[in-house]
Amino acid sequence: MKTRALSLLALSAVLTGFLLWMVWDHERARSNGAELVLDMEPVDPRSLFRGYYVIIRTPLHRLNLNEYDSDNGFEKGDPVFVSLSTNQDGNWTPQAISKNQPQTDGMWIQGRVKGVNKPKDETQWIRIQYNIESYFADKDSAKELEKKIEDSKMRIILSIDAKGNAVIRGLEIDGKRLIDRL
Amino acid sequence: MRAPFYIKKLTDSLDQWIEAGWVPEASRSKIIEHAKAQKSGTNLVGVLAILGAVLLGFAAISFVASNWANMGKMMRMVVMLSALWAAFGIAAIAAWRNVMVYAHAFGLLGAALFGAAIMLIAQTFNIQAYYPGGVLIWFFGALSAAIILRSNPILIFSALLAGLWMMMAFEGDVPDTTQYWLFPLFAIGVGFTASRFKSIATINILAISILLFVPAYLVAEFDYRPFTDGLLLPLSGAVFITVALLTASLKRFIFGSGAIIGWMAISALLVGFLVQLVLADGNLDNQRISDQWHLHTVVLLVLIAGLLLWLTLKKQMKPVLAIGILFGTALMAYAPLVQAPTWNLPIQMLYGAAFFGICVALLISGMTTHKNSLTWIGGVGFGAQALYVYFETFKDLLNTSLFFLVGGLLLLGISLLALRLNKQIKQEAKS
Repeated sequence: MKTRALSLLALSAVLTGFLLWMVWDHERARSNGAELVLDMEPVDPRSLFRGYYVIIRTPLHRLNLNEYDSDNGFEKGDPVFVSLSTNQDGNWTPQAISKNQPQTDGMWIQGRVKGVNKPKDETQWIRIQYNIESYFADKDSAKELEKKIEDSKMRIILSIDAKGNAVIRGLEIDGKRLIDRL
Repeated sequence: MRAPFYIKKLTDSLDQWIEAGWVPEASRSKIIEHAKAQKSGTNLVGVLAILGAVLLGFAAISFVASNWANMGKMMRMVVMLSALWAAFGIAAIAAWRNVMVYAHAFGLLGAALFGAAIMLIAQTFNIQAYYPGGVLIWFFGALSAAIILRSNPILIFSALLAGLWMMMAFEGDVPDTTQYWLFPLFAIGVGFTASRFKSIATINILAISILLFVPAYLVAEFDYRPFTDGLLLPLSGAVFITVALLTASLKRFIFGSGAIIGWMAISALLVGFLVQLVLADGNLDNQRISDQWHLHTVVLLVLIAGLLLWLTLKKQMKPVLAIGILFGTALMAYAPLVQAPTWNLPIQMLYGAAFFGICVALLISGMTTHKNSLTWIGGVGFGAQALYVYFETFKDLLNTSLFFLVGGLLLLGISLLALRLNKQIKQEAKS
């Protein structure tokens, strides 16, 4: 019985270690990656936040393959790499969409294809998930954030690691940066 | 071990029986020792302790939820980790003192709080990853606690988490195929642990998870269409029959084999019933009947035939029943493919008759072997089929009240017939 008790305490330590690792790993990814700031798009207010989180949509979430230097034959679940460059206004915009990790020094973000749409007008759209789709906030803050997104006053600040994985670093509201801290 | 109040009650009763001369005094101590060594069936103390722990968990979560917004991030971490350590700490003390009822109750609470901590930390720090991954880690934590404490309640909870993770993985926006190979491994691992712990409830949950896994896998991997599909339904039914026969062949080595076979058999019967809706619809798209589907069906039929032959040679199944199962499976698989209008009605009638035959065989088998589960399954299947045939035949001919009147009389007539058949079988058995 003593063995069981001690094993259970050891398990508690392992589980606690895992929970602390979750926080540490996220903090490391948030602090060390390259910064990418994206505009946020307003979405249908009825589904804007479920519970107390805001749905994040950026121009990178739905892309027309014909507009960029793109690979073909994307299917649901495929990894996708979107290469980015800054335009005249200093905003990050897509340049190329590929199935494999780009071999350049530029900025790119990695996601997974959530769906492929082929309308009748010859265009080919892909919907992409980057694991940055939710921003948790309490109920009142979520409502305020929803209003800011509708007024186009909010941008999302991401941290991108060497493999193109993104985590949310914070928000930019009315030009003011609000970086998440521990 | 039996509860102390049960032993006290037995001791009091024994003394009365000894005084009345019904039980020899020499047997008193042996009977009490035997009773003490027996495992308790439903332990009231255990049930109350677990319910108490669950309520404490709800109280903690409600308190945290109502004060959550006012807490800083680090404070939230401290609260969550403290709750986790408190629950597992009490469980460890209870295990140390050999009060296993409380060890299981607080171990279960700790396992639940671990999952809550994963979700709440992810929420607090905006950690987003492949969503079912959190449930997967939760499952590993809960299973480890179950194994350490040898706890059936925590093992049942782990089995539920395994099923939940599997369904979430199939439902995810972005497909991931981890569950294709990992869930079967979980099923074997949890099943093995359940057989060591003698946890029949866990086996039942596993069987239900397998029932959900099969069609979800076929849809995700082979692009069959979900729901009432003339291709997916019979294929799922054939897999259920294969699993049931495989379990029957290995039943000496599998704890709870009866439960697994039962769930698979009921589901195969349900699938068999639903295939009639596809037959009646008669709109199966020929272009979707692929070589892949034929290959899958033939492989499953060969497997089923092999298993039936093995069971028959081992005298674990009567040849008539084996032929019936093989014929029924083949009919279930290929009947929806018959598209010619002239053949559709005879096929429907043949299929309906075969379904009736299987239900009657189950009824008679249940009555003769005194297996109530078989009698119930056969009876329910027979009643459902009778109602279906009646509905298909008279739905446009009779007005509503007459329709239900005749339907009610029909079912009452069938029940009387079954009652007479039961009596006849019992008389024959006596003579």
